[in-house]
Amino acid sequence: MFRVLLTAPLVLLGLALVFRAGTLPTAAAIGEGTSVDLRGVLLPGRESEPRPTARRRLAWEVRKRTSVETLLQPTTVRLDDPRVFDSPFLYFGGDQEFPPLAEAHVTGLRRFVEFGGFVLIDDVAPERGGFDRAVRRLLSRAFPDRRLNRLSATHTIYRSFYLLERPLGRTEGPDYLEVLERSGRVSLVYSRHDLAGAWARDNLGTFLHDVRPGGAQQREYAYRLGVNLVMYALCLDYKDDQVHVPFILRRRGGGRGR
Amino acid sequence: MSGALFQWGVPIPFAILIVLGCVFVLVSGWRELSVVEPVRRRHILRFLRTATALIGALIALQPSWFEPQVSAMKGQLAVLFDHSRSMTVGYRSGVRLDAVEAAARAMGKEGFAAPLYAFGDEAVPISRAELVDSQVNLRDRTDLTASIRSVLDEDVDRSLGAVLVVSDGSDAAALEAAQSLRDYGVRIHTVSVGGDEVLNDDSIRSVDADPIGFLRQEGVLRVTVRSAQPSRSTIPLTLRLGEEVLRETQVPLNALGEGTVELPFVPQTLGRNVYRLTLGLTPEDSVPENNERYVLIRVLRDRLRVLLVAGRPSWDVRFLRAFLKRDPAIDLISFFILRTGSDLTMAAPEQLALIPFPTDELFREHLGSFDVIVFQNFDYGPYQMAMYLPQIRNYVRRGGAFAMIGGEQSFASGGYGGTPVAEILPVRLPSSDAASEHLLDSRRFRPKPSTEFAAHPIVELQRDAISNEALWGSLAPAHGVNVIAQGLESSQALLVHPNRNDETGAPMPVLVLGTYERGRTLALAIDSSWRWGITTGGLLGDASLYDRFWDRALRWLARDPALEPSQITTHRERYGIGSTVRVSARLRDERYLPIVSGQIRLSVEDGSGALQKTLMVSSDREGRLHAEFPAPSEAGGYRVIAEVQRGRRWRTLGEEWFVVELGGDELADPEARPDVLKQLSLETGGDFFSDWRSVGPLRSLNTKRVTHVKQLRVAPFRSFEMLLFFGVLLTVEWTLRRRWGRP
Repeated sequence: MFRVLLTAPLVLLGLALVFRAGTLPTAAAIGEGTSVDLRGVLLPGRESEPRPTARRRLAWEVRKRTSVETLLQPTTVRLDDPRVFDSPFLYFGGDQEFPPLAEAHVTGLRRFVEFGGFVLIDDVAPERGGFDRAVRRLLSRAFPDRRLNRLSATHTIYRSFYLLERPLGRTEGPDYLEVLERSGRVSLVYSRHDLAGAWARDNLGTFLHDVRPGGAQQREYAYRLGVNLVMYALCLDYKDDQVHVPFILRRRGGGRGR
Repeated sequence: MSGALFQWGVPIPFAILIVLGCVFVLVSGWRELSVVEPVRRRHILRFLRTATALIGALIALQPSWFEPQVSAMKGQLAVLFDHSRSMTVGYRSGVRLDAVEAAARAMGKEGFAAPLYAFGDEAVPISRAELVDSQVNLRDRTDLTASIRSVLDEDVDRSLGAVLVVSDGSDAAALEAAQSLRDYGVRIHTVSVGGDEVLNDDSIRSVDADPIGFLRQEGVLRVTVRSAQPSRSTIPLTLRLGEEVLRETQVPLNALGEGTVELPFVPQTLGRNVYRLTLGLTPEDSVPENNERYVLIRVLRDRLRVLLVAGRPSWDVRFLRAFLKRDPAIDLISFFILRTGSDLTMAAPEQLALIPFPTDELFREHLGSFDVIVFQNFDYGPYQMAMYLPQIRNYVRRGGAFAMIGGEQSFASGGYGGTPVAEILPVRLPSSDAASEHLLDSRRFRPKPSTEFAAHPIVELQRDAISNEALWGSLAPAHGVNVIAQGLESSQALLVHPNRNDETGAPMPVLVLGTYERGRTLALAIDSSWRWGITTGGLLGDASLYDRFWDRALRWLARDPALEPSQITTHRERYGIGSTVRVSARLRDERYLPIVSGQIRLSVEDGSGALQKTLMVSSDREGRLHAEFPAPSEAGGYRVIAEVQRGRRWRTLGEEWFVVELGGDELADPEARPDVLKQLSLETGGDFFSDWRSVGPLRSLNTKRVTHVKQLRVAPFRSFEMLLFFGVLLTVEWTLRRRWGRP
């Protein structure tokens, strides 16, 4: 179903990275606060996430593949914690329905988005449907005047670093992401593809979940989507600037990526 | 009746019924009487029936109205003499103003004492001697009604009964406004000067232009001209900027000798541009002064062009880009390094949305087109950019603006020490060879406004100094800082580190402003100003501080006039020769503190920079200044410059441009307008005289002031007499009808 795109040079690059991984530089930013923290949201009463290594892995991949300086040990935060505003990126993954959150959490999420934050919500068990129900309930409370919309396939998110055609995670899922927009920018992305399932690895580098139906290629596209989402959160519609358009159109017409 | 309030004595529905009844009586009566013979009797009866019905209806309707009751009392006479620039137009063997002097002399001979005024756009008291000796400054504009009104408004004890206006009437707007003078009850007698002569005058009647122009964008001057020579079908018109001829054209004229042309122009320099329009001059032209006009255009950039180059995506980059993109007045060109040579993208190039960094295009071809260049945590080293750094320095030297924002790839840790960019920065950098802990300090801190520059608008987030410092102290802390060796002596350290000193022992500067030759520079040694937005928003509920800070910083870099410390203005843009130029200024030093009771030198220079005059004035306790001086004696563009002495040198605080014209709007249409004067007299019950000789003795002028005492209600059909008259008519009509055989 998926074309084989991981060509021999890329395999070699992958091998090279095995050697490079141990020598990745530590954060080079002035202070720890200036590195990009892919923060996870902890729900009340829960001390861990369903894919606890996924964000760490994505942070590593983002640092390896791009010029972005990420915190290799991303932190977690509760939505009602005033420190939620310390970093403008939140990853909120879940595998089951959660009870309605207290008003302080809902307000925290609303203010975070209104002040310019970016939220990535990831349903890591889309086949169950419980998390999806709870997320939609939460968003309708936090943003009663807005609704989730399907993201156009031509949106900058699909070309903020890699040229992609659709979202893919551990599961193939729908061929779209859902988003909330604010002042012309996407401020919240909701994926029902279990992105974190495709990213997660243990400390020995073994992938923790099978990716179906596309296997390794699909996993690579899940990483690429993760990189693109982080890049969009940091650069917004930078790739819509006129200077980029002719290059991207040329490449869209030639070699295609996901 | 004019102005009276008419009303009926019964409600409208009743009035309609009464009128219908009256009509019925009339129609039926005429038909009934049509058989009466002979005809003479029929006419008499019809007349009586009609009169009776009408009178009866009017008694029933009871119409009434209010009429003002007036009284007339003799008052004093004031004499107003026109001293506007149009009075310098040639008349008989001299100029129109000669007639004013002759009138003043005649008054002296007659021995008539009256308050005297000279007027243009307002009236000012004047002595007869000043009138005779022509010692009055000419006014640039005529406003007849405003001048007369200013005299009448000053007459609080209502002693004036009439005013006598001696003028050429060259104020067409007074035709419309004349009626408004009636309510004063003062008669306006007028004496026309120059009304008996027709001018042979070619003129620029009007120039319409937007006072704001945009750099390198076409603007248009709409010029209307008029020629008094009926044989002419075109007239030559020239547009100049300084001495350079921009455009020459022949303006086609219509049958009335008028023509309008649109002259496009493209401003090439920022700031005030003075354009000059000249009409071909013939030797017989009566008023050569109106063949030339000056136009002052303030040239701005339509949009601020900002180049943002970032070494890597970060939150600092993201929030600055979002801010710059939000402002529709900013044209943002941004370039971010998304991948370095050591990054492994795991994809073939065609699967990436990456483009090469167009260094040559940005820094060689288009550099001059940017208003502000921002390097944000950008290390020039890997991109073979060393060759372009001198271009950036030269760009600032020519007047460009450059900002460097901190990060581990900025300032000394970005390898800028000893480069041409280090030359333009307002700070001295530590040696790049030093250990990284001497180049970067990763500790959190809250920058605070420096004592000296706390009033600078970039950091003055609140007016009160104590509240402002408290607000800065409550913002989210910065995460780390680039180490600065010291601020340059000429620089302004707006924000400083609260507990780290520079190499001189002073608090280490964090935000520093400076100038490099004609350009401006800004150094912000942190890469976490974004935390004044979202993070501070979470703390204080207000995320707008970030936007306010960067808005002002950008405007300062782009030399927004509203953000300059000192503001200087003239009360008009155009002056006639010798008229009074009034200058006002709010003067603040480079710390934005008022220059209190300082000695200020005001210099006036012409367009070529030649000094015309200087005067010394003092600012008040709030740094405000007001001064007056006569306009230069030659037409052209001039600028007034305010300077304050610093040691042995004079430092410029601000400047403003104005133009001086020979004719201006006042002489654009210099024909005398006796019709305007006639209308003024007609509206107010005064007399019009075609020249002074026909006035006669001033004592003989009617100076009775009309005063409204009360409103009188007039109701002619609401009286016993009218009722009796109605009864008589009815009786006569009935008696005759019976006698002549009708029932």
